Amino acid sequence: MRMTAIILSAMLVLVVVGMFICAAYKSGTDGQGPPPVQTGPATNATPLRLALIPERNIFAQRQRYQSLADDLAEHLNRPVELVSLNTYQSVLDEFAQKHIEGAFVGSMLAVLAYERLGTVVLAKPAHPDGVSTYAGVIIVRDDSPISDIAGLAGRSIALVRTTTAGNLFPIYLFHRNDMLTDVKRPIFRWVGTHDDVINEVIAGTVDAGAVKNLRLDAYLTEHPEVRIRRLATSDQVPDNGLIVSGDMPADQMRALRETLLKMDQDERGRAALKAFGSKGFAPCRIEDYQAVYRMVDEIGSAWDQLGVAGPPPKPLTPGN
Amino acid sequence: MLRRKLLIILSSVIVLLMILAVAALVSLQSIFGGLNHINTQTNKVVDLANQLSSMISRVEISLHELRDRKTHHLDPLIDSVQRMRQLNRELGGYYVVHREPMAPVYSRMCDRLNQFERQVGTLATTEDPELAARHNLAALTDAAQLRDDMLRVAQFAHQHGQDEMAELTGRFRVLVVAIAAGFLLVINISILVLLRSANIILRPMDKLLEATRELAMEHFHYRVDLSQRDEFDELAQAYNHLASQLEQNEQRKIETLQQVALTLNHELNNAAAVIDLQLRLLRRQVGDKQAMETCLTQIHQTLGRMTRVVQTLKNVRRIVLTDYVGGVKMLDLEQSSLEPLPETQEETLPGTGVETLARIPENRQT
Repeated sequence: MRMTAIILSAMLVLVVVGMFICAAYKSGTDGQGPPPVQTGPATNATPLRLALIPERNIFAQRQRYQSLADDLAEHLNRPVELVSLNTYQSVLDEFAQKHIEGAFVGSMLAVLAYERLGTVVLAKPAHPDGVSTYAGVIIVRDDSPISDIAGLAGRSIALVRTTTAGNLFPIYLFHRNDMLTDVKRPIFRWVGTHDDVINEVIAGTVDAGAVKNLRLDAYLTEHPEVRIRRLATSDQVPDNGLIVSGDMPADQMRALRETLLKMDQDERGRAALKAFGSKGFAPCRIEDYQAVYRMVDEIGSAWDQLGVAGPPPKPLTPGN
Repeated sequence: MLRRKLLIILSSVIVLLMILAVAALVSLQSIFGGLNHINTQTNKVVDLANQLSSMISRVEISLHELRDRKTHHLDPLIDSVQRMRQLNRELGGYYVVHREPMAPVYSRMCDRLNQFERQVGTLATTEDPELAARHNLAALTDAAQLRDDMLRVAQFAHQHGQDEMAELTGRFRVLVVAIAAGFLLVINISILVLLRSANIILRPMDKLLEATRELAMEHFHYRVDLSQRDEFDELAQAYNHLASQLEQNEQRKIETLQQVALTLNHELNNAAAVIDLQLRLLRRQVGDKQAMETCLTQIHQTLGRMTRVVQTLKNVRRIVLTDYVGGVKMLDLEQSSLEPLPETQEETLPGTGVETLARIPENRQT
């Protein structure tokens, strides 16, 4: 009995010492874990390529849409690939070359793509405050001497090509104020995103800017110290909706629309929408873009001043 | 008990050695871990700085491709910028960049990276040549300053690694000396402890051996006193008990002998008294006849001698034997009735052939 106790004690001591030695050895080595495993789409199906326009900071924008793409891939059982493009116009080229099947685009691009490529508008985002539309605004710094649109004559203004807020609306305004003549014509500075317009106005490199109100409001919320004055505001148009190629099979189109519209009905979808900064998606049709058609119609021959290649979209007729 | 004592002593020595060994191992592992850590940190920081620099170059290439309208796709640029951000975050995870004087450099680097990202984002999408030129210049300036900062971070990391390596080498030397001294100390302590353990065994062993020798010499009164609660103590008590038993046995023998002597004394005295009385009466009746007188005197003397023998037998103090005939021993009455000699002289009486077997204790004498 005593011998057994001694042997057990000795074994215990050896085990403790062994553990000490192991712990000591472990403490002397830096743990290098395996790299994190990246999950990807479960299927080998052809990815659904969706284009993004450079509406805001291009780096933040892709992160914002990535959660949405992941959720879509999950529901469609098909990988979704995001393609960030550097100009709004290039979305049309990518559609034409069938490099993409869909795109989240602004109102003017939606109209142009419908007119020229026969794309279909599926849905538009509905923001937490219930807003699913936006307007174009002409802005100046609060300390600017410019008080109205007429005051922009000969002044520099930052614009975003092929956008309603940053292109069509200011040209529409200048056309209405007869400012597209050589004498009164403002100096157009074409920047890439609405965020850049705001930055250039604040930096003082331009006198004014034409920007989407949702981006401006978001910027002012983040930077309450910035003082901006609005000179004019356009009519409301649908926010950046998803358009898809008219060639897309109807069942796929329906599935995509249903997925977006029902995204807020499950936990994972709500998380994706939260990361996207929206509360859900609302149905959208080409008829919802009447404000764009109206402005295009009003500027008439001044369409060339927009700097957008190709003819202006024809007015919508019933049955289109 | 003795086993437990020895086990405790040996266990203490083993545990002491093990503790020292584990402490030495832990310390050495700490040193080697430190060396590995320095190596990893330095290499990683330098590598990250190089990767960041390389990523800035990729961003610049992507920008050129966009500016030259070779592509409209921003994804390679976005990927490069995101990778750049990730590398910078990884770089921020190393303490070297947060140490003075690198902390402000790293902080400035983070700010410049954000600025660079903004400039790149704008440059990638803007169409206005004047604005593009301005942002391009700003981006190039940021990129150049970022590269300078990264070079400084890498150089500092390298220098810091060398300094830490030197410090660690010094610690390693001290540790080796300390471990050697520690082991010498523990070995000396172990020797002392083992010597003490040997004494625990040898000292009682000597006493027991001495007692055994005493027992062999029939010194039954010898006792062993160890005063230690272990197996040796039990052995000493067993020895004492055995000696006590032997002593009592011897004493009983003497007592029996004395009782025999008393009986003989009593019986022979009575017989001698009767014979003596009868001889006296016979002498009175015979008168003065010379020959008869001589015969009676001799009988009387012999009777007296018998009486003395019996008296002597009564006074036996110890058993002292002497040779009789044919190797047979007999009791030496004269020696046995004498007082016992000192222990050292008691073994044998040289030249006499007398041998002492036992003695009667003082308090037993009658």
